[in-house]
Parts: sequence; structure tokens; C-alpha cells
Amino acid sequence: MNKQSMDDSELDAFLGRVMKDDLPPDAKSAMNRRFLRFREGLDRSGQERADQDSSWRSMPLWRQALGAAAAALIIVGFVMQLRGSPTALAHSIGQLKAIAAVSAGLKRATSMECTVRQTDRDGAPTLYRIQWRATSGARIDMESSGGVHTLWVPRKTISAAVVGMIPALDAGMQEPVWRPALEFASPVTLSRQMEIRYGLMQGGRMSAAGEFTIVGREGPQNIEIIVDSQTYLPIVLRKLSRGPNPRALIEARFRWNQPIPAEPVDPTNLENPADPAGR
Amino acid sequence: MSSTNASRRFLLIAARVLLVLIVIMGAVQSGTPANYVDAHGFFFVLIGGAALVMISFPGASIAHAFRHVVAVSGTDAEFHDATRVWEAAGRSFWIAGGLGSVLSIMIGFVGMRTVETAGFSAILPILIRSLLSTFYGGLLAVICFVPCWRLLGVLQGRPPLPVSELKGTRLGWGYGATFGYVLFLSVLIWTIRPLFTISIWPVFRPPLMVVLGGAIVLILFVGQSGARLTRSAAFACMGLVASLMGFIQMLHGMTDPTPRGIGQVAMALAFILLSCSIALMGMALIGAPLEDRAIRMGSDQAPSPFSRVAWYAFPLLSLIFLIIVFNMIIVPLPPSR
Repeated sequence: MNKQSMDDSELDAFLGRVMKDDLPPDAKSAMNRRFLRFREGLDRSGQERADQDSSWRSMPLWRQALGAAAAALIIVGFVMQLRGSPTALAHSIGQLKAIAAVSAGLKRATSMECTVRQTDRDGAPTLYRIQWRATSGARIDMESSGGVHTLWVPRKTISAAVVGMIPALDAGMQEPVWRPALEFASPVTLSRQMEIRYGLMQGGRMSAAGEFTIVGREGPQNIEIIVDSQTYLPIVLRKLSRGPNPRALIEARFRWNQPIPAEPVDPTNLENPADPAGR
Repeated sequence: MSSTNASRRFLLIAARVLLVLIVIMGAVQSGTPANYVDAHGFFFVLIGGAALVMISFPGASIAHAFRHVVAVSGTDAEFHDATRVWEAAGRSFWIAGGLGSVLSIMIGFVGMRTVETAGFSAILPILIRSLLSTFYGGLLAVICFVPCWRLLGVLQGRPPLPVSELKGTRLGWGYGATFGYVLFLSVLIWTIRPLFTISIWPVFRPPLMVVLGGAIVLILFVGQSGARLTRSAAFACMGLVASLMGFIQMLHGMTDPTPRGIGQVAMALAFILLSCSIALMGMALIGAPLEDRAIRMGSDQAPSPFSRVAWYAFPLLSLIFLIIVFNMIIVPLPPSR
């Protein structure tokens, strides 16, 4: 190794001898062309990156218009959903929920007073007054041309009726004259009727008094139930004959969760003679 | 040696047949076999899924795929093509099953308007029929994935093919694709004909606008980036967003115990079901066929991970939403205080 330092002029002369600029002209031009292409490629990729940063502005006009139209579609769809009227599918779902709400309201009831008016083919009316309490059972008073009769339905009987659809546990309850009233002996019994026997799947309507109506069918009869929209408890239930001039075959009017007089509903206390309340 | 291989193959076939018989006996013993039969649902899933495969692949590719199920000889390119066909078939049946479930429950609810003797005992069969469609879709999908996985196992030991050799034989939209679209739309219209008893356009309009508009926006503004949000993923994203919007509207409706609140809840539940169905149809008719075509043209080598998540996860998500919707219908609103 030579430690002697070289000055710039000697270094320049040395480099000039080693790297002579003696390329043939065609090789030199080819190298220049390649160098220029490389630089153009660098410049182009830089321009593309700049274009991607402002991609939506570099989009063709038709794509911008399509994007704006799609955004408008989203907004209009949202507004229509939030402010639109219920469609047929939503109406069907709403009816199912309304019936579920009524059924749940019935199961929460603690007391019930019901007046059932039945009109037979001759037009003779029969009136049933039902008093039910959750802690005891039901008392049914029947007023007809044959006089006034009373039937006691203990809580256990009602529980069995919920399972077996009103089986009569004693001879008195088996008489057909009590059948129209036994259908409304308790809220749970009525709820079971609504769930299983009444075809309550058609549309209802809302009144200005905050009540809505559910309609349905039970065999040859049409059912109409007017429900309080605050409590989801039935106010009136009618069974109507079919035909051009429907008449009410049975009409039941309800009062819910009202205090019933302090005396026991069942003075004979069929369940527990020691417990006046029938618990 | 050859006799040993032949006896081994015979034993394998006998073992598989025995396994299938055990599964069938188990299904029969588990309950009444008729409980698992829904002719309309099975028809929609089977024909609809087959039509979706025809949209994506030409008939020659489908025929070769069937041939490669029974024969292990063939070129690597044919194996790749057959693998794509079988994966597409499994995906198509799975999506058709999810779509059939959502359509079935909507048809069931609309049909309740004219049912005379009904009650909550009549609502449960609606859910059963709906779940059966997903069951059929899953079953057919698994049947199609078996040859797909088998062919993938054959290809695993071989070196990967150059992209140029992975191109399919037919690249254009042939008569098979047109026939597939016509067949699918025919089956779809035949299935949803009970909905024609109501005015169907107002039912579909809001969710169609939201899902379609959102998918277009996503494809335009995100699809060009390196993330490659595919069309299928865009439809799945918008289906999810629209469903979540429906759930939020439902919860708001539940705060109002009056019939107006019930109406809000019902509209929200209907919106959720329709959004899921529109998103599934978008994936099946637009997203998946375009991606399959891009693969056959050589633009892509395989389906995007976003697409695969959309194809396989969104029908399952739709099923979960469907069960939640059903539960929200039969559960009453909290009472007013």
C-alpha cells in the first residue's frame, strides 16, 4: 500500500486513463435511452401514487354520479324505513306480537270480573257473572228464565282446565248450561282459548279511544276482541254469527285487576275449610 | 400387490357404505323421518344451488368435475378446475340454504294472514320449515366439499401451476350462465309466489335501496384500493349494517309498549329479514359469479379471503338473526308502568 497521497490533478488523470469515454456511439445511445426509460418509469409511478391519493376526484364522471346516486339510495331507504307505513309483512308480524302481548297481559292479571251475555236461537238471553281471583278461584252466577244459579270453580280445577281444556271435575260443571261461562272462568283459560282455538291471525284496527281490535274465527263463528292498548287486556269479546247480518251470539265484557269485595269468593271453601280465602 | 390394493379399496368402500347406513339409521331412530322432509325447501335449495353453479361455470367444467370424483387421473389444470367447481357447488348450496330459510319464514308470516285455525302452535312449523332449508343447504354443501377436499389433497403434493395454465377453457358468458340465471330466477319466483298476494314492491323497497346502494358505494370507493373489498363482501357488509339498523329500530320500538311500538318492532323485524335475503341474493347472483369468472380469466388465482368469509359466515349470521327475530315475535313487550 502506497501511503503517499495524490493530489487532485493526478487523481483526475488516473481516472481518465482507467475510465476512458470511448464507448461506441450506438452503445452510448442505447445506454442513454435505457437511462431515460428508467427515469420515465420512476416519474410515472410517482404520478400514479399521487393520483391514488385523490382517487375519487380522478374517477370518471359516470362513476362519481353512480356513487352519488348510490349514497342517495341509502339515505332514501333509511328514511322510508323509519317513516314509512307498515308493510303487509310487518303487519302480519305486528299482529302476532299483539296477540303475544294480550296473552302475556292475561297471565299477569290478579283479578277479573266478567259479564257474559248469551243469546240463544229464540232470542232468550242468559247472563253469567264471573268473579275470579288468583288466590282462590272463580264464582259464576247464572241468571236465566229458570232462575239464578251459582257455580264455584276452585283454583285447582282451573289449573287442570288450563292443561286439559276445561275438563269438568264434578257433575255440576259437566252440565252444558255452564259451558259458555267456563270458557271465561279465568284469564289463563281465556289465554289458552286465544292461543289454541281462536284463529286470531287476521288484521285488526286501532280506534281513537286507544283500543284496538283483533278478529278471528272459531269454527262457524267469527271472533272479535277489543283490547285496551295500555294494558293489553281484553275489554269486550264477541262471538258473531257469519253471514250478511251477523248477530252477537255471545258477548263478554271484562274488568281487570279491580278490588273484589273482602268476603271470600267461595264461602263453602271447597279447597280448604280452615282457610276462608281458599289458599 | 394389485390384489392387495383391490381388497383394500373394496374394504374402504364397504366401510363408507356402512358408515352412511349408520348415520341414516341414527336419523331414523332419532325421530319421525317425516319431520325432516320439506319438499318445497329441498327443491329450492337443490335446484337453486345447481343453477348458481351453472352461472359460474360452463357445462364442460361441471362434467369434468363429476368425472374427477370417480377417476384420479387427469392434469393438474383439470384438478384445479374441478376443485373450483366443487367449492363453488358447496358454497352455492350453503347460500341457497340460507336464502331459503329467510324466504321461508317471510312466506310463513305473510301466509298467517289467511290461516283460519291458528295460534302459536301454528307458528312453530314456520320456524321448523325455515331451519330445514339451512339443514338441506348444509348437508348438500358438505357432500360437495368432500370431493373438493379430496382433490385438494391430491394437488397438495404437486408443485403449483403457473397462472397461465390455471385459466379455464371458456371465459365468456355462455349459454350455461344464461340458463343458470333463468333457472334460478324461475325457482325463486316459484318459491316466493305466496308473497304475490300482497303488494310486494313496498315490502322490498327500503332494504333493497339500503343494501344495493351501500354495496355500490363500497365497491366504487373501496374496491379500487389494495384491500380489494370484493362484491360479495360488500353485499355481506351492507346486509350486516342494515340488519344492525333493524335491531336498533326494534329496541327503540320496545321502549313504547303501545300498539305504535309494536308496529315499530314489526317493521324493524321485517327489515332485518329482507336485508338478509337481499344481501344473500346479491352475493349469489352478482358477487360470486363475477369472482369465479375473474379466476377463470386468470385475473385472480383464488377467491379473496373477504369473499370466503362473506359466503360462509353471512348465511350462518342470517340464521342467527332469523332465530332472534322469531324469538322477538313470540316474546311480548314489557308492560307499561
